[in-house]
Amino acid sequence: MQLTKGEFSQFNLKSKMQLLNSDGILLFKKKVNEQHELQLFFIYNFFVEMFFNYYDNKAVNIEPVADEKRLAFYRHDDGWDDLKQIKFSEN
Amino acid sequence: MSKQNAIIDTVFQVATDAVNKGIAHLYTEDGQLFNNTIHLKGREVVNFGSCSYLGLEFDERMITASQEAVRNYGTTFAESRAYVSIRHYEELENLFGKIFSYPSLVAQTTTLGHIATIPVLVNDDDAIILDHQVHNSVHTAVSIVKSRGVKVEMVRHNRIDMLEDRIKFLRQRHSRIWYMADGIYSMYGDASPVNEVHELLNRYKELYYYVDDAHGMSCFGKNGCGSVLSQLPMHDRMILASSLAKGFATGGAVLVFPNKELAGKVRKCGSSFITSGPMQPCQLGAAIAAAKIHLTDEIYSLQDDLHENIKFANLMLKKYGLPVVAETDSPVFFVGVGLPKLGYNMVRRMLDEGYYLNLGIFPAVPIKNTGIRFTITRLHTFQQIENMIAAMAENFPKALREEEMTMEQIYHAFKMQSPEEKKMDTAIQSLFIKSELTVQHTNTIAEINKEEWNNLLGERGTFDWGGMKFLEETFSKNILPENNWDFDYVIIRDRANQPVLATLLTASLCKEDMLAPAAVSEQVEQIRQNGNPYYLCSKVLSIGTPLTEGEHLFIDKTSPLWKEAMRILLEKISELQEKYEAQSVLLRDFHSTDDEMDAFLIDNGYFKVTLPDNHYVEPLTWNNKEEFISRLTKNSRENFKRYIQRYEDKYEVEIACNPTMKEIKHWYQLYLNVKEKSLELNTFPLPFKLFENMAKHENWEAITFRLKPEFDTRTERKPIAVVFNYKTNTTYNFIIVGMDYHFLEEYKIYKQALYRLIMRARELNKQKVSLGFTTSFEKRKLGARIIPTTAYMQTKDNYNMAVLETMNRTAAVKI
Repeated sequence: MQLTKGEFSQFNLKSKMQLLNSDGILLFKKKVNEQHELQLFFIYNFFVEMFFNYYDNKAVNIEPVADEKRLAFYRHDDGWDDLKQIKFSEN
Repeated sequence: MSKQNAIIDTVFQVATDAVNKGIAHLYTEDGQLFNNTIHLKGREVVNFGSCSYLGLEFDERMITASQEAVRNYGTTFAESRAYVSIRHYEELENLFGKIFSYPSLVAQTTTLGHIATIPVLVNDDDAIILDHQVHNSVHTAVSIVKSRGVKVEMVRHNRIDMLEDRIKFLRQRHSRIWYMADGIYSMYGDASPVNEVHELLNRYKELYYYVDDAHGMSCFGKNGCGSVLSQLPMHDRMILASSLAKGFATGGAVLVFPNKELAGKVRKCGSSFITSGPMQPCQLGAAIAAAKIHLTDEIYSLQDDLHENIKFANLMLKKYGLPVVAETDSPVFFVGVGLPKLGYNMVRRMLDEGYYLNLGIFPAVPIKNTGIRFTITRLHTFQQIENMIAAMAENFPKALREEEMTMEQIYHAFKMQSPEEKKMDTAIQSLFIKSELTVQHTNTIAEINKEEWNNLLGERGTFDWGGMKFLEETFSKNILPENNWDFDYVIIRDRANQPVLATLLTASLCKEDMLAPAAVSEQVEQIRQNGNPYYLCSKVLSIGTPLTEGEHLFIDKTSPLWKEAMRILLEKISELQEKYEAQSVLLRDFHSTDDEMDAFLIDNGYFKVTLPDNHYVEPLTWNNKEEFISRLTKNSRENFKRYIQRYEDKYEVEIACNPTMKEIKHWYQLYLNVKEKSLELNTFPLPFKLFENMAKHENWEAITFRLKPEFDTRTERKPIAVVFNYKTNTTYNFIIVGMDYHFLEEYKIYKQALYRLIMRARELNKQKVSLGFTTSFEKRKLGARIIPTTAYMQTKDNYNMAVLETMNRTAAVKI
């Protein structure tokens, strides 16, 4: 069953983790500083970013990607070409 | 048999059906439980019936505390709290004092908590207003104060406007008015409008609020104080009761009071604090551990997890388009299915799919509002919730097809707006429901073949072809609404054009207390006479008519299509119920027990009611009075000699012929005399037009009774009794009696009238006399055979029945 971005967003962090674990596909991980990385998921019909503290091994924030331009952050990562094939969903 | 017994019989039937279908009274097969799955009937299923909403029953701290308490204090401390309680009680009550910030008492169960509190706090001159759906345990406690004569009323569920109306009325007579409700209702999961109640508390100083928040405890609010206190502060005139056996995951109950004085009074005087056994040490140990958890921030994390699951369940139910009765943020969900047969089917299917859900059925909900009730706990995962709801959505249309029902019926039963797309499904589905039967439906007997009708139903009562024509002419175009009936006739035939089913229906305004005890009707009539003549009156669609008795439904049980014919009839009845805006449907009269028909009708949302017994005298094969007497029992012969024969020659008995208007008016007055005293079967008075029409109809016969001149010294010797009888080919049907009560006892009019009409029937060479309902003793003494009679009833809601039930208990007290 598909959720929309809005429906996904109404859940708390723990629930979003649960949804990503069961229905999401991890696409990229990108280190941003000594303790944190960004993880990009594809779930239902949209992209979700998780701000992850790998030092404490827990998610800090999980949000759907609002703007397609944000995906450019992952441009130089392996698999970028495949990523471009996926149509960005507004909802 | 009383109507209450009939309700118990229906509950028994419903429960037996559920047990036989393998969906109730089940036992887990697990040696151990440690999560939200259980083993039933050899397979593991996810349990969606648990009320342990926070999943605390497996918490190690609580299990350890429970074990320690048993180890230290034994399995039980078997002493009344009036004498000694183990110290855990004090600790626990102090902890609750912190949780609620108000004095609290711990009780063994919520029911015993209500029983301890309500009779102590409610005074004899108080009034109680119950929400229609308040939990049964509150009703149990209220019945104790009802027996003291406390005024008890009911208002429709969550109707605060009705509540306020009643407060305004009752405050003139009662210094305190208690409104009793649940915080979250246990079937539909909807919540009490506590903010509106709070406004009323502030507006009316007479109002007190007693609320059972069993399903809200732990799930909401600061320290898990519950759904009510999460929305409004404790009020001076509020008592809160909560269960510890649900979200709190132990056992027992807590009662919260606005001050120590009230708490102390209940503690000292509450019957279950004095005479019932205490909670066991294991429960108290666990409860203390649970209370400590509630006093930490951990409770909020537990609540969050639960609410996320509830949010997800609501979302899934919406996405899968299931008919949820009330969308709330409570952990209780109710998916409407309408009729019991679909409920049984769905619960069984879901068990096969690996999910255990509850069946919400009569008496917890009206029988036509059956549903699948399930609960969400913190232990469920999103995957489990989605898979369960997806399985329900997949099985729903299959079950609908099997039970030959539509979504439209369900939306209609629950007064929900059906989504447009569902109408398409209905249209498609109806194409698949083919029938080998044809239906003839008409609004007048004139369009029915006379011979066919009389062959099927003519000898069963006064509803032969001629009798129905008479009733149509009499009960139409009258001024009073109760004297205008709508008529419908249904004949269902097979391919060979043979009738499988035939019946007549009338829609008429009826008194809802018709079958209630006379003492209840007396109360209701007082209200009617005080300016509300149609109080507790509503349209009833009935098989039969208000004036006829007998088996009005012809059904050929030898036909393999009889159930299909019944199904079509019930569908037709549903349509007519909407057309006539009838509140109830009554299928009557059934003279014999038929388990198959019983089960069929209960599955289709009808419950059985007992009618007064019917009486027949047959066969009429005696040739004279002496032969008739000789066939009576010894006691009856004695009775006959003493009360009938002795007065026989005091009477002049005539078969009325061409009566004058003056005579008819006198007969009508005699009838009204009897009507005034007949509260056992309380109906509207028959119109004068009926008597005018009977006087000139060839099938109706009036027998009048005058006393001979030597026994009647009045200037005008008018009849002191009249009986109206309807003649069919084989049966003489006694329908109406009128009497002058001044002469009743001295001349035993009624007994004489019964005897004479039996003689008249023999004179006319009839095979049988139908003596109708009531006065069983008199009729048996004249050799009548008793025919127990039942009917099946369905109401749109059971609110009026519940109101009559509260009057019934009050009436029992006064008697």
